[in-house]
Amino acid sequence: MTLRLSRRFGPWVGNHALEFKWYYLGAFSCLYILQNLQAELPDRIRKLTLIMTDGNLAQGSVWVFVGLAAGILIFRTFSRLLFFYPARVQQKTLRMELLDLLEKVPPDRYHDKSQGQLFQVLFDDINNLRGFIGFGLLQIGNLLIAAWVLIPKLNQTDGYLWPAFIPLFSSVLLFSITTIINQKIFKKMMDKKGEVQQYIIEAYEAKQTIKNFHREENFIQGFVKVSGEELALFYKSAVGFAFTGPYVKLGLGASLLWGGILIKAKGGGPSDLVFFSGFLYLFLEPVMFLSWVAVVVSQGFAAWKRVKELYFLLDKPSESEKEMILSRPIISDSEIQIELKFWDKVLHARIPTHTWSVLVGETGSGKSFLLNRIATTLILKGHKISMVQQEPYLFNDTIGGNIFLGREVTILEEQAAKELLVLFQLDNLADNLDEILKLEVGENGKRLSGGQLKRVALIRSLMSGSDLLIWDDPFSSVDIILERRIVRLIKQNPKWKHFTFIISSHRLTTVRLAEQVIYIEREIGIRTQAPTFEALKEKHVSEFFKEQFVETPLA
Amino acid sequence: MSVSSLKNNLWRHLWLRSELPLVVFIFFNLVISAVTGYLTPRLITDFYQSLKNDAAFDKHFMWLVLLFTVEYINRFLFQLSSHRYIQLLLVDIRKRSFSLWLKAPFKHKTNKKHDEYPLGEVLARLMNDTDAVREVVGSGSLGIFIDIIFILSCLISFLQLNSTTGLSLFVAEVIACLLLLKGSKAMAKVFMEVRRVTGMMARVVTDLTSGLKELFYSPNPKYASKRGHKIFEEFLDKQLHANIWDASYYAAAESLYPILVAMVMLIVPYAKIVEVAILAALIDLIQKSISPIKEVASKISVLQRAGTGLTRLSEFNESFAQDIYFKQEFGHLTVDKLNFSLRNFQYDQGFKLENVSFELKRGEILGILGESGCGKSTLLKLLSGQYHTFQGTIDIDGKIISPVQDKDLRAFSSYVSLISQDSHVFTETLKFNITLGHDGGFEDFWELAKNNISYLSRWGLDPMEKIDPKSFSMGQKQLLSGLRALFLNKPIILLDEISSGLDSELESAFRDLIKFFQSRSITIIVTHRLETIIKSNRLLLLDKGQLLAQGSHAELQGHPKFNEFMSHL
Repeated sequence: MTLRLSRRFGPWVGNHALEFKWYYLGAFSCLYILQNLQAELPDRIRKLTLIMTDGNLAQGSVWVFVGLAAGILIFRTFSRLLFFYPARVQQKTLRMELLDLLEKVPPDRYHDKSQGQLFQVLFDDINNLRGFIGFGLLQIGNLLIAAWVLIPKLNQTDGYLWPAFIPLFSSVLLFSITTIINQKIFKKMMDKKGEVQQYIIEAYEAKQTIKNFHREENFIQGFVKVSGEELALFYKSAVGFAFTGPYVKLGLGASLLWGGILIKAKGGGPSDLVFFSGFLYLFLEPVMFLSWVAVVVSQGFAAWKRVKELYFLLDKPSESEKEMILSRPIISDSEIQIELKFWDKVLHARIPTHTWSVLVGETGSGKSFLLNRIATTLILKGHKISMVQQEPYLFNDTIGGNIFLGREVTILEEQAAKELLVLFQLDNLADNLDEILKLEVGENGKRLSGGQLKRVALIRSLMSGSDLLIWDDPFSSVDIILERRIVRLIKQNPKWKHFTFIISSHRLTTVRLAEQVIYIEREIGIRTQAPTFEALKEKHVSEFFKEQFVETPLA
Repeated sequence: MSVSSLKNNLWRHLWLRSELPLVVFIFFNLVISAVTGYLTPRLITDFYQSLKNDAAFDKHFMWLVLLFTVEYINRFLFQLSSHRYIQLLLVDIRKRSFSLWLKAPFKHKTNKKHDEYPLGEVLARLMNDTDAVREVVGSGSLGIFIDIIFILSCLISFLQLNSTTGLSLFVAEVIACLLLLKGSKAMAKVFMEVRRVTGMMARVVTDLTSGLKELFYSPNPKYASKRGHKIFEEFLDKQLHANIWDASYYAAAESLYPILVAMVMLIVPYAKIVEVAILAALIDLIQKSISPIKEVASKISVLQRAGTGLTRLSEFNESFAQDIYFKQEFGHLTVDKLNFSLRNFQYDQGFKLENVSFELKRGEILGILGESGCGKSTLLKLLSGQYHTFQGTIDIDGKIISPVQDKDLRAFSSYVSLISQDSHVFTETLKFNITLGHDGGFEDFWELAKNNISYLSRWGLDPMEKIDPKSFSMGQKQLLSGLRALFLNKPIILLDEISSGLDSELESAFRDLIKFFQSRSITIIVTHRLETIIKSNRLLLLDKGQLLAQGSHAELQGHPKFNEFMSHL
């Protein structure tokens, strides 16, 4: 099926209209009937005031008014519902399509987008699109149908009253202009609000640090400043409306007075004035929303452009992705052969399988980069591997949810996960292992320490069902005693001992636990690849670890 | 806390003593609008009646022009002044809440998951609850007073115009208003539900977009889509539900007009209205009063929400207000001798730390050794004054501090800096990150630090440039934390786990840093680094919450557990 996202604006709207044609047909019919019912009121009331004071009231016309009330209730309700439903459903579908795509494609494709920008598209922009096709279409339809029904109706008998609408229409126009201008201030205010929230988030995360260093007063001052700026914008945004909001009421009053003059000049009476007053109200509602229509349409269109921009990024392979696939990686029983672009050279790597290889090199030599590329290339070519980033992410879910990522789990697997929790010393997080699996970790594992978070990610990787594991600096926040215990037990356990591990590290102790060392340099690529004990004899490698060899105590 | 004291607090929150003139002005606005509201129906009736009378027409026309103009100016001023008041009020409330929250100590619970106010809650109180107050202004809900006055004066005019019709209309409109009020309350509930789910959806979307990379690299059965689908579905459901209420509420309000007209028709034969103008004015006023009725009904819920918001805010503040803030001592404190003696400390249930004591002089280093879970971190937390529920004493230069006394303990904490890799890095300049906003003397400090820690020059960070916390490694974060402590120049320095994941350059930076600390403070280090172990004047070997042994490196040589520990290194 073609994705809705893949269409251009026109076809997208057209397709949407076709998809929900019966809803929209119903909605427009409801609006048409509604406007006709409402337009009946002023003239009927005019006649009524004349007849009633003459003393002869037709009982039947009471029921006409009750009927009109019921009609307005029903058709107004349904016109709204029929307009909103397709927009809401469309919103959900677009979100799903986008999320599906985001999950599927390599992260390289949206590399330039921050997490905040992705959030903005997936959350706010699609919301605005909904506003555009739901609220926007409703109000445009309402305005057109109101004009279609009301204008001829007034022209028929009382066309001379038109000039009296001028004050009302001009006040609404002014109000619309203010609304549009205010959008800018409003947007600024929302940005500022984001800053205030960011300030609170940061202060929350840093509260312990602020207290450790006794700087509460400085941060209170900082908060008061940014919060004050936001609230000042809030006041500013209100000034325009304070001026033009009541002005609409004034316009309504002025129109009534003007109508009074016109009616008097024509020799009309109070019945004509109440008729005119009724029409003023009928026009007021559709034109009041005129201002919002402009805002909603322009916001909706801008939102569409941003959604499409992201879609284009996701839809096509990125440049780095193209250059990544130089040749098909070969995985044999003894080694992985892979060819990659590394900085400005082509690097051929042959990494032995069923064993531990450790990538070593100066900070900035490109260890993480290389691991990422190996992982991405393999995944793109359909191999099932698992990689743990240097700073992995834990979802706002339970520990179990994070380990299995929504997979159906067998009892055996759960048992294995529990064993790993013990091995990785995460068994003290709660009273028993079942509870630990059910423990909520918060967004980005906020309720765990950095080290605990990483250990959960390592367990996730071991339980992922793939036998090629790539770990970027896995033991950075595990102490060396625990590190040694973990590696030993993994190597002994029949479940994992045949797995292939490619890891990176700074630490001599970690390197000693691996079978093979791959030393990389930015200019050369792989400088040394050898079994650990041999590699450590090489001068540049031992130089690199110099500081970590035991030193003689200082006097 | 009793409800009545909360109510009192509410008023205290709403009342800004310093803005008395503004309050008086707003009150004046309300009086004027009462007068114009009272006059409107009368003058409109007069206008209807004078359509057939030339002399009266001009007079009543002019009166109405005057009335509308005064009403406009008054509403305009009312909007401005009430906005200003709310702005000032919110500035005040937010400041108070934020500073109470920040100054309050952590509740001394053992586990972070028991945090009484997690981030979401703090944000909700400081932002959403103040937003609820702000919405009062945004939706023009303060105008509700003006609307009520207008409706009342319309009803009174009905009575004066024609008693029978007036009375029936009076009753009918009050009933309609009550019904709409009920509807709007139910609607408010539905909308709160939508807001709640919107918030949840925002959280899920943030969570999923943050972890997208993870999902690409970890095999999984469409984790994001599954979770997304669930929350989007719920969101759709709540929204549709809200739409039904929303659409039918406003439709019901619109249908009120023909219903009331039908009612008038039924009554008129008995009410003996003979003048067309009176009947016309009556019907016009019905139409004019519908919109205020609708407004009053829907805005009362906005006011209620603001009330709830303020109640929640004052509850938030109350919960911190009990923790009377102790003013930290600044300036250059010195400690020559620290004597720490712990008999017993236990978390709510579970882990226990017992019988740890030591004595240290300025310039000395204490190394704490042990495997994960031996109690090292707990000991550091106790030493930094985070828990006051332990038995034992702390003695600084002969001054005894009882840990049970909150005030004493916090005084003690101002002698201490705790350096850890969980230390927060701000998206700010390096200078801000070191001084945390208190920047006197930074230039001299930076020169001194660069001279003593050669890594800083090689690192090549400009102190005035904004830094990206994401680009910081764990080791760099900890170094930054160390620089903070150095800048503050505290007499007692606590260092946590510096051996993890450092490259050789950072290793040497830490060596410089420790040398620096040693020259002027008492330094306590949790460590796995052989070098530090050897350099320490004294070592504590912990195991399962017990002190196994203490002494210098040489003195501990024979201890079996110490040898086992050292063999791992």
